[in-house]
Amino acid sequence: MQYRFDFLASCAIQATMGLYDFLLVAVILWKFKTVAGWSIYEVGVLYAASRVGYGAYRMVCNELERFENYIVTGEFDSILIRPYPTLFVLLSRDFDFARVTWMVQGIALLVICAPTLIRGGTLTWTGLFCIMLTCVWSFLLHGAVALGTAAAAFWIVRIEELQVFTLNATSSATLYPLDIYPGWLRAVLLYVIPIGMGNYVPVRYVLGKGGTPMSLVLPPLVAVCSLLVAYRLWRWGETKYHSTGS
Amino acid sequence: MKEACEMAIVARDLVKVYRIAQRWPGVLGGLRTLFSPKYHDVRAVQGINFDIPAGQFVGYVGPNGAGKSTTVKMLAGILHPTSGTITVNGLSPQSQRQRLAWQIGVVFGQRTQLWWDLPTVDSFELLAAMYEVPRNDYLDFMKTFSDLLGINEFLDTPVRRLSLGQRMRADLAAALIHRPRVLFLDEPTIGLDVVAKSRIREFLQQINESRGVTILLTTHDLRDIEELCKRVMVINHGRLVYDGSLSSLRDSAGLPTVLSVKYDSLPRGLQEGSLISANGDGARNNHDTGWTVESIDRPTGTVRVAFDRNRSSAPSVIWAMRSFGEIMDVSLTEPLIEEIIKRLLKSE
Repeated sequence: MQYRFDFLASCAIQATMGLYDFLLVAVILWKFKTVAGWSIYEVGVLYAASRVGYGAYRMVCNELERFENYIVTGEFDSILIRPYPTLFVLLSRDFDFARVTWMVQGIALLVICAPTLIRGGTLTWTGLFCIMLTCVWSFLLHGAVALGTAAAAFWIVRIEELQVFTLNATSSATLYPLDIYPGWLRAVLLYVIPIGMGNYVPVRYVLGKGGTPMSLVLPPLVAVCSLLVAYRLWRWGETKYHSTGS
Repeated sequence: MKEACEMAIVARDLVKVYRIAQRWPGVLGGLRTLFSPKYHDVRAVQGINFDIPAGQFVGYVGPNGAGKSTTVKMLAGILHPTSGTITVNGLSPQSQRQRLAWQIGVVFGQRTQLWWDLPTVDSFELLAAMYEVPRNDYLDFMKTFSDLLGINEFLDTPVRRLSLGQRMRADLAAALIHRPRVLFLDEPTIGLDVVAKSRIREFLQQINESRGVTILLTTHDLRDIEELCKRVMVINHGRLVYDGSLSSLRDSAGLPTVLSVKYDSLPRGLQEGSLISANGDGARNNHDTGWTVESIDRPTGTVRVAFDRNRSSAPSVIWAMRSFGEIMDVSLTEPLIEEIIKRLLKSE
């Protein structure tokens, strides 16, 4: 945080990027009024849950995003010589505070959309509370997917493209209601790379668009399980680490 | 159990094989690599055994790619051996990595462990916090290391702006902040000038003697070994080819310094491989000097003579060489580790 201008500039860039993403969704909704039966306010809530989760993930886990460098350069050596779990040492190296803008955007969107939905009777206060919890599951799910992807670097070294595929693409895809996708893609986004569990499943139930009370239980369950699996993979990967020659 | 207490480092049948994926050649090579990968194994370390008692200062030398760094990285818990076992201070660097990390210090000459953009002192503060160093011990550390390594000269400078010598001093201090019992040093003098090197050597000696820290040092510079290590281990192609005292290494391989002498015309009476005696008559009976003509470059009239610095002085060799012709120029080359190994393998 020693370069104030740098920080403000990256906040501005992040905010513009986030806004751009939402404008894309908003324009489509504005044109068609609803997407697969979701109104603009409902999509706003869906979008908010994901953005807060993704923003929190990017803020805390920024080093996972550039983990490829640690493997390519052998910088991971210096993490392994410290008396703490490697993931902890890695994440503590850097926080990307500028990503707070994504969270702020998400929360702002929720503040705009929720009152309209509550007045219209689609959303209850309990539902709103559930959506806030959902942001946490979304955060954990993004983290789990990113961790699993980063762990792949222990074997395949180059993971930048893989990261785009597993995290960036899936996260963007789940900004829309999954109803618009063919069944196989929906299945991928819910059960293979379960980013969709972090917003679509609980938000759909809360807004009364389908699902069972299980829709509220499943996301935290899937999030915790994914994290455990990803961390297992990470620990296994550590033993495969090659380092680099000097 | 008794052995584990006395021995700081124990390595048994240590093997490390790197499996390297090979790319198929051609336009579709990348695709083919993905679906039918082809591997070849690089046997970096192939069955190494050694014991290092607590408090010993051991030099670990070998040419590039011999497996030095791989061994050190396995000892420090960075790499997992393909087979074999390691014990450092009675702990396994692999399964007890975190516990062991409290007790060891690691320095890589090629890479800093410090925070690149922060003032040097911040790195020390962060490490002190990380290793839970009590405040008094930390102040004590700062004082001691300012005296020994002069780290107080550049505490406020960001690490990226330190000179190589300063950075190495800072890295050494950082590796010792938690008072480790064992120190692994991978090429700590690489790229440093003579003054910086000797400062670091002096410091390492002090740490080894006053604190009883066990030190394993890899190096290319035989001077490091000569001045610091009572024991030398030589690794070549992943195997230990020598483990013993420096003096017996010298006996079996010599530490050949090479003197190049340029004459104004082709010197008389010299042949490759001939021995030279102190009075310069190319004597047959003077084996004790051990001065050997390595090569003669006829077009330039340059003769290269190998001799052992610890037995003869350079002036005495030059003096003897005078009797073969008019000397135009001389230069000295210090022995390279590659040369030692060549001689070592030859003498076996």
